[in-house]
Amino acid sequence: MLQDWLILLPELLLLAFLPVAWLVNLYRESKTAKTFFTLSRVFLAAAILCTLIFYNRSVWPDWLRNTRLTTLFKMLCYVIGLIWFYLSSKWYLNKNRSSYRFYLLCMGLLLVYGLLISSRNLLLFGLLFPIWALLTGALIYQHWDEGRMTRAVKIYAASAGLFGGLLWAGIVLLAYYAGTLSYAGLKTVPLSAGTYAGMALVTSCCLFMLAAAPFHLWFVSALEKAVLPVCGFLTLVPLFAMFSCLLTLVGGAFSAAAPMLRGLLLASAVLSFLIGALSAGGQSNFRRLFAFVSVFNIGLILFGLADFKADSVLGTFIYALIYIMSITGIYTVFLGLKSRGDYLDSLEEIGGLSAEKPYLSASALIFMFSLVGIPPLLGFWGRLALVNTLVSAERWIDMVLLLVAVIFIVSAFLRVIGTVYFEPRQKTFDRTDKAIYICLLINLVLVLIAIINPHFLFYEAQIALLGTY
Amino acid sequence: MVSPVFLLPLIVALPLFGALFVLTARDTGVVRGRNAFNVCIFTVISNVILLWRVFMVLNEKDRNLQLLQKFDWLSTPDINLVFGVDTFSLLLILALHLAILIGLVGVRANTERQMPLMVFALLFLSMSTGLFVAADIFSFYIFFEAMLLPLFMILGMFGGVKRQGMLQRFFLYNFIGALLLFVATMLIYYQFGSISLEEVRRTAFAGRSGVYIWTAVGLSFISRIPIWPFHYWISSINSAIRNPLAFIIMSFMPLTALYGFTRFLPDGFWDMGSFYIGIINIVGVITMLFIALIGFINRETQYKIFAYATVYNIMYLLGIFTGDDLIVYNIGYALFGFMIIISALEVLSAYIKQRELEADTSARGFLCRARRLSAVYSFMIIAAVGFPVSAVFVNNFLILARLLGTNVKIGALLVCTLVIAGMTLLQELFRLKADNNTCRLGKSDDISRSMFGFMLFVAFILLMSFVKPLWFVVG
Repeated sequence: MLQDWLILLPELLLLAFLPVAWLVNLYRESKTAKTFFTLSRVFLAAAILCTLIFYNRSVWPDWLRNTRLTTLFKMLCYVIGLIWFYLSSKWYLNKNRSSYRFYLLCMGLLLVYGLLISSRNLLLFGLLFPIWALLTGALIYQHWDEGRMTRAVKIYAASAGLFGGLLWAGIVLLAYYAGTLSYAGLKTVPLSAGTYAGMALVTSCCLFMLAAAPFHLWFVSALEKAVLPVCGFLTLVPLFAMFSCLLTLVGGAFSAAAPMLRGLLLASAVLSFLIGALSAGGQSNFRRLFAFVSVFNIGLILFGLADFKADSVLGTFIYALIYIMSITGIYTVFLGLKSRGDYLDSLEEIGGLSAEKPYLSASALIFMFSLVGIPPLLGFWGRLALVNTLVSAERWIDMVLLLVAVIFIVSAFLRVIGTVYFEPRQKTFDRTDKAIYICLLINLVLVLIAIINPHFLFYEAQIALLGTY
Repeated sequence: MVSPVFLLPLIVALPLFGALFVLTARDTGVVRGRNAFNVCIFTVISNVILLWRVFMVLNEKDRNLQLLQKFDWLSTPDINLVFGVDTFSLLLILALHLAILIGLVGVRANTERQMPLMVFALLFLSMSTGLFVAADIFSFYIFFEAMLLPLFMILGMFGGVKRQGMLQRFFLYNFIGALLLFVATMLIYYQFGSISLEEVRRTAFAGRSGVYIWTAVGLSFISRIPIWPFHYWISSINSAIRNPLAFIIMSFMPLTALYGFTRFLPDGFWDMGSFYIGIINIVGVITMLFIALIGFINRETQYKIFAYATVYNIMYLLGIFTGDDLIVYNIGYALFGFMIIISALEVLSAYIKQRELEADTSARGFLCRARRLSAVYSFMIIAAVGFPVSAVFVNNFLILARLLGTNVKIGALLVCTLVIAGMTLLQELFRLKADNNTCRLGKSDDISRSMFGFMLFVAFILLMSFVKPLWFVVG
């Protein structure tokens, strides 16, 4: 019994944070933005440690199973979350706002993501979805007092309601036609129109949670309007959780219906990277621009993943990891873009940034070039791994489509670079926190140095993926 | 032959370290720009010394890549970095270093944006050196694309008022070109693995896929040469740049493409692709003729230099397409002298333009009063026009003779074009040497003794290259 509780420690720790934070918020008088960061850091670090210790132990393996693969993805979610928590604390300190709700909701979401990654039954998935939807909605809705969130929240609420309904419709169909909701059972069910439809509906819901096109509207509008910590969290953390869900669901439980679902994934992938690439160029708000860049990259990830073969999964995973490193750098740069206490989000406002903030500008430049895969930056390896996946599968047309889309993204980045480096200065920029520079430096070193010996950085992940998947 | 001292990786890495040092240099107050400049000069000279050492250990008669170095890099996909050189590529690297050294002398007095210029110049030096020492397809592709970043930044900083449009054109043309090479590289890798450049020529272009690969490779290279229909972006860039070092760096873009053709052109291409070669010859000569004529009627000195350089670049391209190994070898020697001449001319022209702007007068007749400038400028023009004072003379002669031998009509047109290109430069020399009493530039505006000494040294290198191309190789 005690051993079971110990195995559940990572989830329990994340869960325990919620009442503790509530109590601290209620009773502690001298609270700063750092208070809740410190608290979440302690709980999250302990959860990371416990996840590592019990990496292959499960209490209810039919419902929640921990493997090397799930541990890898959980670790990535938690570590990325921890890094972003640290950076977000700077935003709250600068704004002198309470960070209580942010950390509370994010820790709740991390718990949900952890459970989704380990989930082995669709019923659990279905039960977790409304919690995820509520927490994400609340996260987008927070700081509503600034009066900016109305439209984004409406779009999100409508989308979440719709996809919640579709998910449950899918679950009911599968329960009726397949007679089971466990992933292991679904692998062997005879295929019929009902099971096909059920699987397609569940997969659509995953795509919605991932913010893949055409279900991306909530994500783009949220990122444009939400406060910076929320934008960063929604961009960085969910990716690996949903990557893992797609692997276990579409690549595992629904493998019998793979050809049909592959078509669905590919359609969403092509739409995502085309919409992302074509829309990014016309944006004047750089957060919205990078929201489309994220949609573009989600499309590429789905594109590589669609085959669900070991090589393609590994190639796509490498791409995703490198993308997350670069986009984290971009969001770190965003945290340094302030003028008279306000965080900037318009492209015009950052004109001539390089003259006053050369290091910040150079970092943005490097991360953007890494995102489009220009050698010798680390992003090149990501692009190479992805294109290699397509070439190995002889998907020539897909490769051409992908490279054409890359040209449009490059064009969008050129606008940003041109504004930052070659336009006259529009604003006086505030002093940038040293912590931002330190984080940027660490990230830059990883992006620049890891390319010299990438095995060092990715070896364990490769072993975990190839060994398990 | 395997180098025990990692000379080639060191030559690629040293400018990168130099760029890092420049970044840490103090750049404010009275030393504004000087520290960055000094570090840059030191780095380039150090690399020239290393290059000299490489020449010493190289067997110049061996046409294969030597001093091969292989580094394991990626496992998914399985890619290694492989370096190697032959005399041809080493000559180009040396020309690149000397040209940048000349360009640095041209910008030594600048204080505006000196530090970023030095950083990106060193990055460019590292990446283009990497391109010339790359010995397999992936290494080549990596450096081919990587050099776009410093070029883009340099163009953005010194591209003049219309730079936004130029930047878009520059990056999109080159990025699409690089992506095409990437596609070709992936196709080659898919069929043969990561193979050396020497194997590519022999194996990669057979069959139907070979046509696709060659089309992608050809388009990616030719987009960097100012040949119709790709001429516009390069001409708009080169005529707008006002910094001599930036101009010299941009002038190396066509050179990287010429080098690419020498490495990738398949062995049997002259049998298979005679039709395409014919088209390239015709389009090339017509482009040369037009650009030479535009250069002749254009009053901008910089455009004249660009027109001259373009004409010669296309001639070398046509030379490469003759498929004669000896001609390709000659092109290496010719390019060595040619790039040095272009760089020296650009620096001296930029100096004259600067004096013109400062004194708010025309430079017509200026050379009559500035003896030192007159001596070196005249020498460079004479060398550029084709007089027997540099390696360009002999090698151009051989290339031209081969082209005339292949097709008399094309060859005759080529000669006409070269004459017009030469007249374009002579026209500028005559303007600067004409009688003009109203010119307010005098003896005091002449180049300094140190710059004169440096230009004499450059002239000496050119002269010696005429006497014996590898005169500096002892033993």
